[in-house]
Amino acid sequence: MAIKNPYPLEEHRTFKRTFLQQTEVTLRFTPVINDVDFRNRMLPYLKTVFNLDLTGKVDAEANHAEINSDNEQKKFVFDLNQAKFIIGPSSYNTFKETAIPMVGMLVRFIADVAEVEAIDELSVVKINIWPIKSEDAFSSFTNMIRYTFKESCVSDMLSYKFDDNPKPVRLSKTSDTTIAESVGLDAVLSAEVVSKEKVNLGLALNASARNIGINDILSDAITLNDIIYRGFIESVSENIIDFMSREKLS
Amino acid sequence: MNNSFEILEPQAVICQKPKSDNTSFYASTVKRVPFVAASLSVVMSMVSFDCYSLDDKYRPVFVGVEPAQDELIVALGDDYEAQSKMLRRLDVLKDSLGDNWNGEGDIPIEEKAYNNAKTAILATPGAMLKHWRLFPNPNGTLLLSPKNKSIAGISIGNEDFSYAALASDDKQISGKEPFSEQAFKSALNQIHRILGYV
Repeated sequence: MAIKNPYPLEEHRTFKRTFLQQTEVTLRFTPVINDVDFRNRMLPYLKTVFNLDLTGKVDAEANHAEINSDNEQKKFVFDLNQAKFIIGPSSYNTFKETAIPMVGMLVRFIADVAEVEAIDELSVVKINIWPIKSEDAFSSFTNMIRYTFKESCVSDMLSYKFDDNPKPVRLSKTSDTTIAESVGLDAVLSAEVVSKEKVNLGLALNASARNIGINDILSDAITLNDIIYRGFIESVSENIIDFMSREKLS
Repeated sequence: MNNSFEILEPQAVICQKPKSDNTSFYASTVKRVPFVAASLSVVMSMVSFDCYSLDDKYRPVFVGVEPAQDELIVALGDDYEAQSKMLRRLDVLKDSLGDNWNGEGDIPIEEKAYNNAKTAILATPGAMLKHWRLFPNPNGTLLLSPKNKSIAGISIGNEDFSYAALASDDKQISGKEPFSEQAFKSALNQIHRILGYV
């Protein structure tokens, strides 16, 4: 199915700087490929798409393949029931520019190796981390949470209190929202005292859709990314949006 | 929407071990085949179990780098501190100033003025707050005054706030409005433009 995005279409703001730490796209499918077919079909697939010739080098029992770039933060993972890629911060520019060509490579896997016409689930995950340093992370902890996220999203986290002998702690809050039929957005907001001086605030957003025809995967991935953008804007405070948007850092 | 709130006390993330005996976390027959020419390396291996906890699932795999560059972390910390310091200053003023605090019949910070000032500070990015100092007014309201020699001020009261800024004859602004977060942000943005802070 082609996803209908219920949110009003809006152009994504172009941020001057980003705290995006990871982008991940996963395609899950059935039926599971059997081991022999996986090995036989992966060889021509890797040759065609990655220009890798593994003839005679594949483990006789291999049912899993990982392809890592040596000079970029990009990684592909192929299994009998899923295919995915992960992009690190230094290799990511925009979703359309960086991720969509890689989605195309996964689609080719679905057609040539999984040999299915539709997939069970398509998911796009983006993980943001804001590291904030302060003289006393424990006493500033809840203020940092309020500083980073919209208060309406974290009002319950703000009630956390340390005892007299504070220790590092990680708070996390999850939410799952049904966006449309077969489309959902999961969010994990987290706040972690990493050390006495540092707190990591995190936001992981996972937009997923079920029952996607192979021809809709590319366009639906873009729609899921739009849904993640909206979830991001609705979760993060104006302080952070301003920090990411303004021309000069100071 | 389904929300759950979880507090994870610090502890090592322990993966649930699979019940089946023939599953393994680590591949025993890994072949690493580097492809230098293509700038790619491939690992094909035997794995039959994916160990995921919620924590693992959303932890970045590219951990070899800081989440952001040092410059960004320092700037973000500075932004946060600017807002945090002004909030602390506001609380100190509220808690410490009693009747006649300056010997001239001054009154303590009024509750509504305090709440309005807090709203204003929380709505203002640290990068903007860095330009301002917070002072008490004798009538229980609060005053934002520029740190440098710019001619400007914003007075936040119980119901209204008033403001003025003067850079030159043709670059000045003044006004008095009912307090709201949006009205304050709008006035502050205009003042910053007039004073050349942006």
